[in-house]
Amino acid sequence: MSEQKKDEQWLDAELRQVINTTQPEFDAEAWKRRYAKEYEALEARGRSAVRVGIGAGRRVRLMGGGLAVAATILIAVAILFTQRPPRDGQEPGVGASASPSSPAKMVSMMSLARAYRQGGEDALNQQLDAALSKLGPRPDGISAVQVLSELEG
Amino acid sequence: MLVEQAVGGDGDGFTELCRRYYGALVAIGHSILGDRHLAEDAAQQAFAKAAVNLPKLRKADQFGRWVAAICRNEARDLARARPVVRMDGEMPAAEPESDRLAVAEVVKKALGRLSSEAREVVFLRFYDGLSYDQISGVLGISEQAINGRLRRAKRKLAEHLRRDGFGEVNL
Repeated sequence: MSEQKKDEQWLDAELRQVINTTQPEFDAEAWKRRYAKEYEALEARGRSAVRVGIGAGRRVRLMGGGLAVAATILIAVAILFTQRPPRDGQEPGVGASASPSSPAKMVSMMSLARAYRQGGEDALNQQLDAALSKLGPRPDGISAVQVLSELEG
Repeated sequence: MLVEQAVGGDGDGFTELCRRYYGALVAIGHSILGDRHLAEDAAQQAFAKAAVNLPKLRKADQFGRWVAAICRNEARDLARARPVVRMDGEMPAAEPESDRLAVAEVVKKALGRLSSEAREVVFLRFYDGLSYDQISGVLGISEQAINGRLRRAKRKLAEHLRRDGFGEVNL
């Protein structure tokens, strides 16, 4: 064995003697008692995390439920508006309501919606036809500006 | 996994971590304080601080290094607060009862003259039962690097022993 190896072994043995310590055992219960405040802080973090988790879950579920209710209401309103049948005792058609006087008013969204609600698609078509027939073919002598100014009232 | 559990407030997960790192932390504390019981105090105090500050730990795999750094600070604070036999200071000269004890005193003295980093790796390596994995966990370096650091520390020790008139120690 080389001199260097012998010296190293000697030093290792001396260091073991000098340090001479067995690995200590950690006593968890004694530590928890000694540092009760710190341990409590650690565990409280766990409890609050669980609470936040439950709260968030509940909020998500509630939000989901709310969205479902809102969506149902919106769909119901949309169906009501689009599928509403003509009122009883009213003849479908333009004549059933106060007829718009000018073609511009005839093709306005409100007027078309009213015609649709009162008479369905037939009434809507009738109103659009009436508007077109009132406008008629544009004579060469009338400029586009004049037609547009009449449309816009 | 255990670290994540502990960060989430799992007390059992945290105490299991303490069990795993306790030996290494006591060795680190011992290398600074030169007293086993005070070293245990420093390690336990380090765990208490870690329990409170765990959410500040950015990387779970750095837990060992992080808690070891806390332990070093605790040990230094304890060393400042109590004038005890410190490994990083001059060791008190004791009357040797026999030749073997005299040798031990000289080696102790030489240990006390090492840099804190060198002394720490010697303590970690010669603390009974500490594996390379445990040492690596607290130092954050590979087994090869641990061996390199240890070799340099022993060479320094041999230098100190020669200077103390111990004779020729070739390392």
